[in-house]
Amino acid sequence: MFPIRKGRARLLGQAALALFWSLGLATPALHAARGEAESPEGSGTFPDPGSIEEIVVHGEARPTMDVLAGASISRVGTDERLIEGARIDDLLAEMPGVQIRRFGGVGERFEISIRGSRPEQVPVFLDGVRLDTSLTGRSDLSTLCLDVLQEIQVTRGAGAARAGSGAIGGVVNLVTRNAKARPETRLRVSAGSFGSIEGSLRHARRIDEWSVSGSYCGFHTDGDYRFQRARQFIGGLPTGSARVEKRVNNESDRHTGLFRIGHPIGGGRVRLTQLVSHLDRGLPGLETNPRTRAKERNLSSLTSLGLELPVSLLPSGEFEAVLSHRFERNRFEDPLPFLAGDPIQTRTEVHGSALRARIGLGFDALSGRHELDLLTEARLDLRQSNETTSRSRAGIALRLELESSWWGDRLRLSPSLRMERFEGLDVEWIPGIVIRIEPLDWIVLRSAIARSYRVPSFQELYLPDKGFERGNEDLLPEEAWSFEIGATLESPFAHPWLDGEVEATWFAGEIENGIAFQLISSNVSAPVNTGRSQTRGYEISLRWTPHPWIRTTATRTVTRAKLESTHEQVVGVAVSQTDFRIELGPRDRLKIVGELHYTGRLPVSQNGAAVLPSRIAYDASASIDLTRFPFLHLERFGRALWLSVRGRNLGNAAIRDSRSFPRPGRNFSVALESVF
Amino acid sequence: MRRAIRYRLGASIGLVVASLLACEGDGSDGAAPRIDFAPTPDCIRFAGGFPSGFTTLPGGAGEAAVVQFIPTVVLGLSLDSEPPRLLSDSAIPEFPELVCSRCGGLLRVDSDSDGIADACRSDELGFSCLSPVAGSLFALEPTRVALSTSSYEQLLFIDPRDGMLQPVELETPAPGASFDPADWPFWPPSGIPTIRSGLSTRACVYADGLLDSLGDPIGPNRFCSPDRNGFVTRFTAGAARIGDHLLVATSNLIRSSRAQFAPGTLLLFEYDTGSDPPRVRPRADGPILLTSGYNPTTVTPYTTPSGRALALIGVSGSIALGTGPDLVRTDSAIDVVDVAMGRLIATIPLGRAGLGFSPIAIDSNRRVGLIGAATRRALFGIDLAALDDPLLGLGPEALPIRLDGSVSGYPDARLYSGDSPLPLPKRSTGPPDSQCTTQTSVALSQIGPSGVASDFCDGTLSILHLDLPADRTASLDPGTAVTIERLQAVTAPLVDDATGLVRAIDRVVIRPGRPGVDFDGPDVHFTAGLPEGAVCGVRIRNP
Repeated sequence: MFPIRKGRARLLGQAALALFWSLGLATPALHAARGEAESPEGSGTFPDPGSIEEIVVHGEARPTMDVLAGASISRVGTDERLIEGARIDDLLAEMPGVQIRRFGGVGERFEISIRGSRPEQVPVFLDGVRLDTSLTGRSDLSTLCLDVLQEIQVTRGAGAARAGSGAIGGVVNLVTRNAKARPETRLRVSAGSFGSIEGSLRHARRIDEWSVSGSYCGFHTDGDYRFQRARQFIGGLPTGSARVEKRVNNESDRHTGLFRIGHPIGGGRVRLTQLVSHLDRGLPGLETNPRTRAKERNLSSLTSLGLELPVSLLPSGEFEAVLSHRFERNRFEDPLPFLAGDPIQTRTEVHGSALRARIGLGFDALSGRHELDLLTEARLDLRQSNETTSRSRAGIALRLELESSWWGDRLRLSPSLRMERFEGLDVEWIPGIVIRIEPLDWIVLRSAIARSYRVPSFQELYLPDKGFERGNEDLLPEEAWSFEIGATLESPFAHPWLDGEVEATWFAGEIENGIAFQLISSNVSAPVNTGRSQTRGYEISLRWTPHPWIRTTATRTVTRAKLESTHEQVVGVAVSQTDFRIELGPRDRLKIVGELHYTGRLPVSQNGAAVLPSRIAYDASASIDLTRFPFLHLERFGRALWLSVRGRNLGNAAIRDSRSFPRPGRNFSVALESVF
Repeated sequence: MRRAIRYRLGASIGLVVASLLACEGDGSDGAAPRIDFAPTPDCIRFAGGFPSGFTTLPGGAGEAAVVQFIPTVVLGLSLDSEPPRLLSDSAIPEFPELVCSRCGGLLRVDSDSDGIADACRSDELGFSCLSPVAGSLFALEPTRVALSTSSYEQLLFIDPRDGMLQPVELETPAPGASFDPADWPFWPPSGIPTIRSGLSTRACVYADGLLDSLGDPIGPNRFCSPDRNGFVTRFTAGAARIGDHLLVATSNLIRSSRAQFAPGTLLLFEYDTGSDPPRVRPRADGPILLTSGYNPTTVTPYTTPSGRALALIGVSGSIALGTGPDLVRTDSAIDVVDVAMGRLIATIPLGRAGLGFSPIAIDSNRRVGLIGAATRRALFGIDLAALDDPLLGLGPEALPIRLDGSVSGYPDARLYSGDSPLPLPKRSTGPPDSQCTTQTSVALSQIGPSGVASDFCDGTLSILHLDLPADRTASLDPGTAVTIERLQAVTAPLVDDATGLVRAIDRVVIRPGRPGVDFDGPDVHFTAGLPEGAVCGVRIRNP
């Protein structure tokens, strides 16, 4: 393990390291150097307590294709949070600018919103390879488990220059586990409320020059839970009752496997990644109209083959290529649909194939260092369904990006231009520029302005005409621009009590032709371009470590996302969100965590017609490494044996992120993780 | 010793873990979750979108009732204030609920107050776990409205002032030539009067030679007698109280995706308000009438000048979901039922009109009846003078008599038909017809020759002027009888960039009384379906 020590030049170093990796300069020698730098304790221990939010960089952790672009990037490692019993949505939710809308209990789907975006405006990548499907433009991250990941990376703000269509709110990149110099096996079992059990096994090692890692996780929940109904207040007068009711048809089974193998080749590296996920779950429907027998079965896979090679033309040139295939098959059935209509049984398959190639060249000129990146990408998506005819769509993209730095990286300028065209649509030109200035060692100023866009999904374009619902082939792409300016201040003082960091960002954006399903006729819904919306807001994050055993973080995001037609907050986007976390204890053996999550008033209807009031939820966890207590003699169970208890919604408050999908009350999980 | 410590530690941990995992909360420790619905200056807003029913209450107190679709609640409204406000000053309850183990163990409504959750009752009788879905609303008395529900087919009785269910006494007739209790499975046994808050409209209908709207023959039905051809009623639609009768139309939709309907039916109940609670029973001498066409949706009371109580049944015809010009698949008509006789005496064919789903509006002189359209920007109308003949339907002619001029000796009652409707003006900023297939509803003033018609897509009200001769025998000129005085935009149109604005207007009512004299507030109220359900007021005559 290679923890990056918190220091005055930490951010700069981190950014430089990210750049270094993204440019593919990872030579075998460097790999070896990193191997030496790994902790002799393996990853059963934690990095320095001062780096709660820090990235933990392992050997070749960076994805081949770096899709992160923009001025605001957050990263969080998963190992330490897995021990606390956290899930993917927990890690995403604590990042500034990110809102997670959950639609039920454990195992239920959730949506990501960054800076007021809709979920399809946040593409999700796995090691730089697109994970979202062209069917909906979304990724259902509830089909994955955190165990197979090593790190979660989030870019806030437009990232279309790197990520392509859809990157209006931001980009999420999930980094899978890699092999380290020392073989490592992690076994985790957990049990939780609502009849939930989960188990995972991860193993990573190097065999000669091969690096091999494999992960599996399985999850089951009965899922049913009790909740308190919402009361509708009309003119201040309540209607209905606030009875406690049972939410049924939440049973869920999920299996996720990930295998990755890599080998050096010709001074570079070749890598094969295979992700397979199977999900079988009930869909409980709306609170007011529960579906007791609706089910979905989802099988998805992602296969990617990556190649990195040095380019002999220039000493620091590199060629990268990734060939990937994404497959998703979804079956949905509801034998008892609303109003005793016809039983529903649909089957949809989506194939997405992509080839990306990039050449990176580094050179010195004009008293600065410059990295020139040229990328080309081709993509073919195909949808098949038992309801309608097959559809396919091809797309191509070219990208040119220059990253220049002067004065020892104190000034960095990164202009980029992407040309993208999808079949049947006009050519899109996507310019962007990121500026980063470090006038002093303890302050970083950054700004970005970028254009982005999103092509309509297959669902939006070609949803079969069911009479009451249909697609719209006349949809225009969503067009957006975004701007942000921010600063990161680190404590310039060496005193431990003053070890902290403050990051603040102001952002603004505008979306034209936003796409949303609307009623277009007396009984027909279809996606339409809904006009213009504007977003303004700010993010503040704070980290303070007054003592190695006391670590605190706080983030606050205020998002004012308004439709031009109404000047009211966009539905589903909370006006403000504040998260506070305090971690106590020596991290390598005992950790007690308390979390507070405040969500401001949440419009659940357009034009502010219906609003959920603000709320606070409390979570907590306690984790202990039993091997650190010699009298227990548990060393034979591994280098570390973590026992953790996590409680969610400890106040047992009635919380929900949408009008008709209640979330569970207080619940607990217990986990045991062994590291060999 | 160490082993003992380890065991104790392990046991303690196990105990703690087990306790924690069994300590699930139900989310009820804090304040109950609430969803606040904010009014606009003109509209009271509530949950669910698309209020399925809206009616003024009799009594002239400026009151109305509206259905909040989901969760289903009937809200009584005072129209005196702007926006309208709730009549109740205390919490408005949902329908009572009971746990139904055979339907997933969930709380399910017991709307008919029979002590069994509706879904359970439905499942017991072989209809699967069906719960009521709100439909139209009909005023019976100032303190009693009837709400039709589908799925769990019935007519519910509710006090609009507080939203509480109201009792009625159900009485099932003894078996007879025209009535078999087995055909009314949700009714109590014959001879045992039973207090309920709703009456079931689920009944078996038998006849040979029936065809559904797609032309397929109707054979035996699994819910009814296996030896007879027939079907079971479903999709309870319009209803009305006419004297001591309740008439309920069931549209009998089989499959919406194919616009497939069984023949339309009208159920006749005797409604005796002389007892407390009122007593209701299916009419023993013939409780079910087949309508002349498919998909009857509205029932409108009409009394002829000679005092004959009639029911005008709006037969919409089979209508497909979607947009475009060819959604109306079968002919429309207005059927005329003599309530006392319990017979369908006449029908006024209107061609491929696609009648709207609001009751027929009748002018203050009871000369003209207008009804909206379900799929176009137009109104349809009939000349009610054609029903003045007190002997209509009493002669030897085969019933129903067609009042379209095709039967010798009988007038043509059509004023605006499917072929020659009264077109309503289009808003210039409204959505294209190819995208938004509109629907209209109409209301006529009871104090003067005026009215309003709503346009779902455009968000407009057309102000109507009626020029009707005083002499009922004088024929009506469709060109001058009803004219459009002006067009008034009252909400945003249903266009793409109006997201979030109040729009999708549907039912319209004219407040009884004289604007500016009897009341100061808005004289016209309408429902809107987006972004939430709403009732809005607007001044048409009283600027």
